[in-house]
Amino acid sequence: MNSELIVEIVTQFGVEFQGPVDGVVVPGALGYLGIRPGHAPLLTSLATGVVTLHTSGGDEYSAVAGGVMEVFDNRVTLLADAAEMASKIDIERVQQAMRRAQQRLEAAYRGPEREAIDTDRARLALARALNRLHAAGKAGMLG
Amino acid sequence: MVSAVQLRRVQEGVERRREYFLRLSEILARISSSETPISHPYLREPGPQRRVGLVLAAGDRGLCGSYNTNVFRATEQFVRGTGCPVDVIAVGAKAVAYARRSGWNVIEAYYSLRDVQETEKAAQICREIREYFDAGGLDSLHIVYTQFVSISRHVPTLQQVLPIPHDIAQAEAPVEYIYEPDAAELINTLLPMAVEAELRYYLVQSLACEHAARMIAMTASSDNAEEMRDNLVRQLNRARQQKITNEILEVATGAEALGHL
Repeated sequence: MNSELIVEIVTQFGVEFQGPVDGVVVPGALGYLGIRPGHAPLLTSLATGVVTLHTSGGDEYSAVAGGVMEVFDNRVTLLADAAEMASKIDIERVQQAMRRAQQRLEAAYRGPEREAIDTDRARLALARALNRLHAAGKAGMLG
Repeated sequence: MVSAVQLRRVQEGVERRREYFLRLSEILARISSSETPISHPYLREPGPQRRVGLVLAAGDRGLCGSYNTNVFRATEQFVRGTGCPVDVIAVGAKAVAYARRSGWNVIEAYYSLRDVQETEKAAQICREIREYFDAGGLDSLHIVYTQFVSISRHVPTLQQVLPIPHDIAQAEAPVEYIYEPDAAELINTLLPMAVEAELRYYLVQSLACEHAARMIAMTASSDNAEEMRDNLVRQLNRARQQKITNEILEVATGAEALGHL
């Protein structure tokens, strides 16, 4: 059996990751699941979470948010709404985004009736920021 | 020159969206070839066409050669050939103006094709277009856009978007997937994603073509202007020399007549 898995993480902004791995752990809609070579064809939607890529050079991480994943013929294709490799995450920017989202949420709940604030969107932004930090943390970028 | 810079940026956008769109359509093809029956309005059999929707994607401005004209010609042909009412969704200022002038039923007008470069605006436009089909009333949805083959080759193209044509949604070997959470839910997520990715891909190509066409048109007109200037300078010099020669001749003749020579 072929012992290699080709993983591609693609968003509408292009190919974020492409390469052979020994295995990959992805945030499926029903929880994290691991894919090894020889996996049966699978289609699942993706939650917001961290993808772990077991490459020959060590583990790599990517923060993804929503989308779908297909496993077929030892190829794993993640079509993510958003994806960022941990090594490319700008921690400063993520923290800013997180603070902005927190401020918006705080204003929405504590401030005088502010209907203009889209709390769903702010909550999503916060979740995504936390997720990116999580990925960066796993990659050992937070010290 | 401005167009050249913009073109490079948009061209990159085309490449990126192609990657995403191609992978999504491959998955779609495998799903629809599977034995598990899928029923979804996007995959229904084509029935009688009583009312069709058409997305018309053209430029925001002129001065880009025959770019807009070519799209309009293709659109005209389609509208005349359908034999049923056509609801037009126009994208691009020139598209809106043309559709209105032609007296078509314009149900939505997006004045700025440039917006398809911006992620959120593009997502919104494509979602709204798809929702026109969801609302019912349309038997099919088509698009006339300009295919970006290369910087110098732009092909006005008519494509059926919905229901998803069967020749596209067909793979060679059937694949039986494990679906998580379940097939219906996944297909409900995947199909709208695919349709919107397709629309985005087409629209961004139209934009790339507009920039490329403008660049070519402007280069051609610069060349023409330069040639004209060269000709005019030559004419001017010739006229000046002629005049000087004439004056010398006159002076010489005058002097001769006075007997100085």
